Amino acid sequence: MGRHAHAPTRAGLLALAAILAATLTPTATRADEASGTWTGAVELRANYYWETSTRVVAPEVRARLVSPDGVQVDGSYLLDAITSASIAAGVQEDIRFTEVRNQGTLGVSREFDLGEAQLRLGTSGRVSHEPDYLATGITAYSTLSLNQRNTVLSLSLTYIHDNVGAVVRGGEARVDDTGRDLSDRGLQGQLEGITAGLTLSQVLSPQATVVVGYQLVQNWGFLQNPYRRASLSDNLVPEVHPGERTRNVLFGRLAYFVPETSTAFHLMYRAYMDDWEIGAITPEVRVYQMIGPSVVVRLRYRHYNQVNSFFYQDSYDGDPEFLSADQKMDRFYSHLFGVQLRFALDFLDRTPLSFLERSWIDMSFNYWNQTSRFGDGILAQAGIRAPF
Amino acid sequence: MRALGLTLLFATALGGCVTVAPYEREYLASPAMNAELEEGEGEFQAHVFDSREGATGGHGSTGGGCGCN
Repeated sequence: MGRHAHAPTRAGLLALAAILAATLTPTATRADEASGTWTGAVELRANYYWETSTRVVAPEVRARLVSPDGVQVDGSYLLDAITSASIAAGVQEDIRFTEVRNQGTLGVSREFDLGEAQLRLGTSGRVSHEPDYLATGITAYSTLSLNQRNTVLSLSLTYIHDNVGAVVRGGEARVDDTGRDLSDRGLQGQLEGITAGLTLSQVLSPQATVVVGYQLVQNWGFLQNPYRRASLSDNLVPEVHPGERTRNVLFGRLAYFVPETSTAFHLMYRAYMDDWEIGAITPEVRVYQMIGPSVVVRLRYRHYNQVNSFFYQDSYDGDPEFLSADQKMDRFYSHLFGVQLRFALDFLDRTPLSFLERSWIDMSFNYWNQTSRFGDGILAQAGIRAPF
Repeated sequence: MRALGLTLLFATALGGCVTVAPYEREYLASPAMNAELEEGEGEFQAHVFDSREGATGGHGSTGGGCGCN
């Protein structure tokens, strides 16, 4: 399939514009118009990831605003500070470097009352920038709620366009007399993709829900890493991956609440397969225990198991069509164990901090055991979500 | 695709014979049942998983960068 076959068409862009226009049209049904108040939530998060060769610190702010006439605006900003050594980048030299990534998202949606059903239309955009990578994406989605919201059907379509660059990593920045950055090796290629998603959420009983979904992802363009080097006849050479990739994802989540013990069980499963012959399964179980109305303890176990792509080898000889040093292309499995504590700040009622009385705080710690060369990892997060 | 169709059909059939009224959703409204409360946490985790695993998806788009290639 050629690249031009995937380019966003004028019709597609017009469709996105139509969704945006429909979302903002004042003649639509207004869900909360009677109250006349703006509602929403602000969320502050701190994310931390550690493994032998990589550390990531990523503070984040997210906000949601809902107007009296039902227009919902979502935005977020995330700052990623990534300190990594050679193994994470996949190169063979021992270089440690730090990069900063800035990511912003903005979305708008609106729900329309169709009588027996409710239809939400929305669109969102995302920009992520770091010195050697610019990622952009736009999503259009619709959510149809039926049968008193017992059944919710969601459709989404995302287009991404990334500019993949390369810079000289490690050591001092190199500039000339005019201040021009000589470490910038420029654009290496472009990665594009389209993701189509379909999700069905269904209430099964007063205690059980199920979600099933399917995603089809088509990527094309520069799909290798400009820094990684594969071993070819004892020489290190740039990676060469196929120029296209078709990915299929089937996923589901079954949740059940036991009133007698205030315990919820969530069973999750994901099956993945692509035309690079990577197949993976991801079962996960989460157990939530309510302790009173204001405290939740969550335990989780996640297993991941994948088989290797058809072109991955530890080293190559002869004249192979594709070359890869990407650990994600190899066979491996992992186990993730996690615990989370989430509690409400309702005890702040009648204090100077009463504006936070409806807020929740969450803190989680996950230990990740991987058989890939990345090794074991730790994922820790904390956040506060304050509705208003 | 056949598995997907069967799964969707099964889920729809399960729910099609059940209507849970809003006033019956006390347990479904519990923080222990509301996956939306985990969206913020889940997006960063998905980003990490995408940068370390060959598979993707099932959790929304996580974006480029991060050496995910």
